[in-house]
Amino acid sequence: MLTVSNLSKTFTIHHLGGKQITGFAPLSFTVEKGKSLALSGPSGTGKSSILKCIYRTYLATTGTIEYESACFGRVDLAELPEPEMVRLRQREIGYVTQFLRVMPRVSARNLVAEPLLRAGADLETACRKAEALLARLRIPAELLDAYPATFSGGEQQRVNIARAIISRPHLLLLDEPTASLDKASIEIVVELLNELRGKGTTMVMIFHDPDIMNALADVIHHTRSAETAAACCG
Amino acid sequence: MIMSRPILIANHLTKRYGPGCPRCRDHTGAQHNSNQCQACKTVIACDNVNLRVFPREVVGIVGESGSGKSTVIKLLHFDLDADGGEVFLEANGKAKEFIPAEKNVLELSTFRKRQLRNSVMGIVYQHPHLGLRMNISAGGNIAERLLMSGWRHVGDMRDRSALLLTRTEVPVERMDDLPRNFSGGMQQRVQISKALSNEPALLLLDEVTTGLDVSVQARVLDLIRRLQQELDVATLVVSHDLGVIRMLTTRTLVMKNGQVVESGLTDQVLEDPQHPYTQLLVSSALH
Repeated sequence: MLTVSNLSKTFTIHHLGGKQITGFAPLSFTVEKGKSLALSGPSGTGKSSILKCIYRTYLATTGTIEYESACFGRVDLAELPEPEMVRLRQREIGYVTQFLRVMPRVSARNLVAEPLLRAGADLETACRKAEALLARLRIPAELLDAYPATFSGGEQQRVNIARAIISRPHLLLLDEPTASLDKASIEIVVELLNELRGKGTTMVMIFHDPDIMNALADVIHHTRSAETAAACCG
Repeated sequence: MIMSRPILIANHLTKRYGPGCPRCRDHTGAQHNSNQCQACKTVIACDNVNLRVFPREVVGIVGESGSGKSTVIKLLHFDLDADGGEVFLEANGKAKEFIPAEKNVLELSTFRKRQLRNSVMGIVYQHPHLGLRMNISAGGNIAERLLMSGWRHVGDMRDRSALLLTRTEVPVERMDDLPRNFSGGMQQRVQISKALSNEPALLLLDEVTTGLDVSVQARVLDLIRRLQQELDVATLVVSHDLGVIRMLTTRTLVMKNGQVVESGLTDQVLEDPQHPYTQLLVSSALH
């Protein structure tokens, strides 16, 4: 489903005279369809940057990201033309972080229904499904019409997760989406993600909590700092 | 799956003010931080711009004042004549009858250009007085546009105008008032009504929220987003405001001194900018 080969990211900071900053050193891994891979390692080893490269929020400096797409067949996400990448984001690839960064002045219900509407669902069905999912994530019904910008951190994260999983993406990228959730909410999220995995969603994830990681991951890939990688691989 | 064809293709679009000389390219552009040729004093407003817009897509052009971003829109809308380059438009409906496929529309006669513009394009300018006649009623402004795209029945045009004004949240009871007496936000909404009246395949938005105060700006942006979702019209958004670009667009081109210095998915341009100018632009934003 997803094969990352020799992928690396280096940032060039022009206002520091073109200074090069390593995001992460070259790495490779493969995730089978319906399996989940956890990226594990100390802070600053570029785990989030890896996910951003897969999602094309960052441009890869080296390497390939081979992805088995339902729309386009086998493609390299590092090289795929932008309109196709947009299509994949709308139809196949979901990405969720611990930060809610969404449209201002859109209600929680509409925010979560939007991915379904884009995929062609009618308004009523999309809203009903959004409401059901938000209820399952224990967002109070009275908040459905409110703007999530005013929500608590935990509520925002749950809206964020709902928005990312409602259209059942083929590939889901998770970057600490439960960082400020209580134990009960985390259990619900883990349950939802495991259901998705059961239905064939492939996942690449970052969870610092080892319990969550072990509950969700089939494979664990350890990331290293650039210095360590250079020291052991020359 | 095969991606649909772009609705708009612009290749090597160029506009200059002055005679131009062989050394213009050596003196202008982002790396020289100038768009004026030292040898012949020609100002290169936009140089060799390539651009594609796909159906239902919202593409942004961001850049500082004088970067040439509005020139690109004015060339595409035939408000200015290009000095070089070619433009291909996927004609829809009626326009198919008079626009041959694969025709560089910059080579059409003035009459054909106007016909094409009236049936395929809608534009909203930063300054309402460019898009509206201030001493003709709001409804009349829309009716004028409908007349140009072939409508004839007065009652139908009035109904259509009322519908459009309602959609853009202009009170219908102000339909017969002059836009001159409207607030800035409302003038923009009338402009949007007018731009959408002919169901354009391509909507051009030139700094539409610049100069409005924040709450009015928010309402206009929300309106554009809602119409975008309802109408699925391909849109080109020109703005110096990264917030507007982030909110409305999926792909973005960055212009500087008449040239496109970078393009990519909007979140990528904002989070992983490559060009020195884009890095400066992103780090200069207030939030």
